Amino acid sequence: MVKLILCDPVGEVATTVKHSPVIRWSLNQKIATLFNNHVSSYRVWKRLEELLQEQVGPSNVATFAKENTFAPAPEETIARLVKIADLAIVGVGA
Amino acid sequence: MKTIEVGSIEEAVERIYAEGWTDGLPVVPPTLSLVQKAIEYLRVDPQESLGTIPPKHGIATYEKVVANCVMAGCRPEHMPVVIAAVRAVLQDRFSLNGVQATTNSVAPLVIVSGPVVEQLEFNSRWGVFGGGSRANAVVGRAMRLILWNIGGGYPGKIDMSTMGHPGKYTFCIAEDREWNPWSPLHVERGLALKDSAVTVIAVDGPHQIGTGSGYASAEQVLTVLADSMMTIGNSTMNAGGDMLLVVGPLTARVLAERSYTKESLRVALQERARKEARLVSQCLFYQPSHPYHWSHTLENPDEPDAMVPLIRNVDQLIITVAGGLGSGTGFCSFCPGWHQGGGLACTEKIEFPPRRNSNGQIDSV
Repeated sequence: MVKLILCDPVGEVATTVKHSPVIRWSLNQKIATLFNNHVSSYRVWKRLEELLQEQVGPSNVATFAKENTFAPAPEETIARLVKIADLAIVGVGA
Repeated sequence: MKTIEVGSIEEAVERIYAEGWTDGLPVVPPTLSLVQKAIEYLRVDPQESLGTIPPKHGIATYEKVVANCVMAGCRPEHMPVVIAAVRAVLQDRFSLNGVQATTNSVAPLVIVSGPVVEQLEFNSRWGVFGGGSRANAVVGRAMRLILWNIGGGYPGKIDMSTMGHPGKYTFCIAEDREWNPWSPLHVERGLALKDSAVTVIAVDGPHQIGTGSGYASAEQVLTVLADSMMTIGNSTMNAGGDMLLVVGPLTARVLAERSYTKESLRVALQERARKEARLVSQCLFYQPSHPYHWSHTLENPDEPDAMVPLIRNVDQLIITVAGGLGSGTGFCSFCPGWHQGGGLACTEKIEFPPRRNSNGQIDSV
């Protein structure tokens, strides 16, 4: 009987999913939004930013946007975001 | 490496489908002996990684890459071409995560150039985008299987391409060396004439353009090319980025005889491939506030007769020469790209393993 040994071509996944901690949020915290500029998310994202500003006041919301939807935000952007915000909401997907 | 034992070819074929190792087309069973033989030829550490392939972020070790190459039907000597293509798509500017996951229908096209075209018998002539050549077929196929098995580009799950692309089975062409009157693609992109290379770019399917270059003036050819390239629903018109023009050898010869170089051809097409803002604005593909939106290329985007350039920057028009001689119709192909954010042309030199003589000494590469 023929015996063939097949090599599995599927790559092992390099990263493991970590569960995010539950966010404790209060109205006096500074919030940043980091929009990924995906064409399909414009309306919902703009509405989200408006709602946040209505809820916590415009001065407590800092808005950022990536130029390239599909690439990580530049380190300078993240550094500025971390400096001024207690928590951030980032846009993902379409 | 995880292995599976089966008792027959028939069982292997069915087991491969059951494991989800292929996208629908049958493959060569990736037997341990074939994988080991290729690893030996490449002289690499099988556990060494080329990087991770998004969006699943599978680790592209040599042994996994080789297993996929075997499945595609590669001989060991095809594999350095595939490895170079993997390195190309892992360059940051390619944004492979987006290319694999986008709702757009682009697919990575491998363009092979340099002496390897003849050495491995790539087809650069008649039917260049179609079948007929093992080298074209297996290199393109290996890339797809790597993006599938290591990258996890499964349609409707992670690969959200709305329309898909026939090039997602295999997509590889070669640049013709003899009939190309201009600099080889890899030389333009910084490599030496003697080198062999791959340039990978994510593009739509090839749109044929009958230029009539066998009978036409250069000006007529340029008009036909420009008009055929600037359709308002294509991604590149809306959001810029790299695009590919495959100039047929007859058209290339006609243009070169009229003193056009690749550089002057790019400039000529940039001047001509423009459309009125009132037409381009009918396509709501991108919002005007988006950084890539065409309106940012104009000083007066609200002026209906302002002319929107398809080619934002001349370097974004990638030109290669391939295809059959054909008749006087002078066929060419245009492939719009994805957009400024990714799928951009990336070039890598093909590195072959050193060859050894009968005494085990390295005698050539």
